[in-house]
Amino acid sequence: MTIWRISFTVLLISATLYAPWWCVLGGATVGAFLFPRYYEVIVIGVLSDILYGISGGMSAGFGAQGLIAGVAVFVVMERIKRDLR
Amino acid sequence: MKATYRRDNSPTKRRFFTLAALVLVSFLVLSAGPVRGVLSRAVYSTAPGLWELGGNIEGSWNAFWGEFRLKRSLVHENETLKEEVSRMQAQVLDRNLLEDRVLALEEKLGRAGSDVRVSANVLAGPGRSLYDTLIIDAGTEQGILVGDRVVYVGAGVIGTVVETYPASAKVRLFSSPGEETAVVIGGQSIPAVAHGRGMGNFEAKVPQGSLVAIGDNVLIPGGNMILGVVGATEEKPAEPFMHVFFRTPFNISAISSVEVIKSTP
Repeated sequence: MTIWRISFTVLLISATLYAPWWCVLGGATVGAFLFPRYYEVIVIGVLSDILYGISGGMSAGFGAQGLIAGVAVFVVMERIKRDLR
Repeated sequence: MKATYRRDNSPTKRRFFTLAALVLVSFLVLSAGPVRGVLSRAVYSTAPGLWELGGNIEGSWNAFWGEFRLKRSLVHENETLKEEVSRMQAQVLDRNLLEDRVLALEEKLGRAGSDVRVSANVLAGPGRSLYDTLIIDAGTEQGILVGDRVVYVGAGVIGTVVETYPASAKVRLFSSPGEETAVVIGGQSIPAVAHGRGMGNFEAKVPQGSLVAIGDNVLIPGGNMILGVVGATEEKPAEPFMHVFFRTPFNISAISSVEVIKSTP
């Protein structure tokens, strides 16, 4: 299971570099559903902010759109998994 | 008597505190300028190389599959592209003549000047994230500074440099959501403020009744640089202004190279 988790995370990091943002969001959602307590999705959100983000006001997401999206995906998927048990 | 046991909530609390700590640390990292700067430099020491590697692999992949395409479709595509190139060469010739005349006029008026431009390839376009930024493969080693303007095909200005690294730079597009740019619209040079709507789209407001038509150019004042072309207008009788919607005259997500106008130190 660990090797699958690491491989999936590496794939998601590659998607952050090469794929459109919606691919990364979809992959992060799948990863958060498949793996328990997938905190890596938050780290990938931070990586996306550092790669492409700029500091700004509310319209620019305060330069933390990836972090916010990562936390939202994590919380929502954990809740869904708990309800499905 | 039946014994009851209180449910142990410690794993749930532990997970909550782990999540809260991770979010807090991440937010501090992103909001603290020096820490974010250090992390950005660390990431950008390797990311440009990875992007170039990805570009090379994509080029090789396309070349490989190109071998299997039908010859007939390739011949037809070649003829279409040749026709398009000759048409564009004619347009460029006309534009070059106009440019020479403008330069001669400016020289007579004593306003002659030239800018130094650096060509750069786009490593990552605006479609990679929600930020509407470009990453280019030129940086401080090529003399690029924060605030330098970035143009496409000579006169289409698209953004400004916001972060620089030794071999790369980050460009914020004028069409980024929340970005405001002073512009002049149409033949009457109506001044307005353009608000970015993302991916090369803009919105501006001009007084009701202004002579703005679809197809009018939108320019950056003082530099004769094209920001966009008016695509639609919207007037409501109850409002004192008219909405003007315009966009860049090219597909901003498909550009592969740009020029950076170096600012004089």
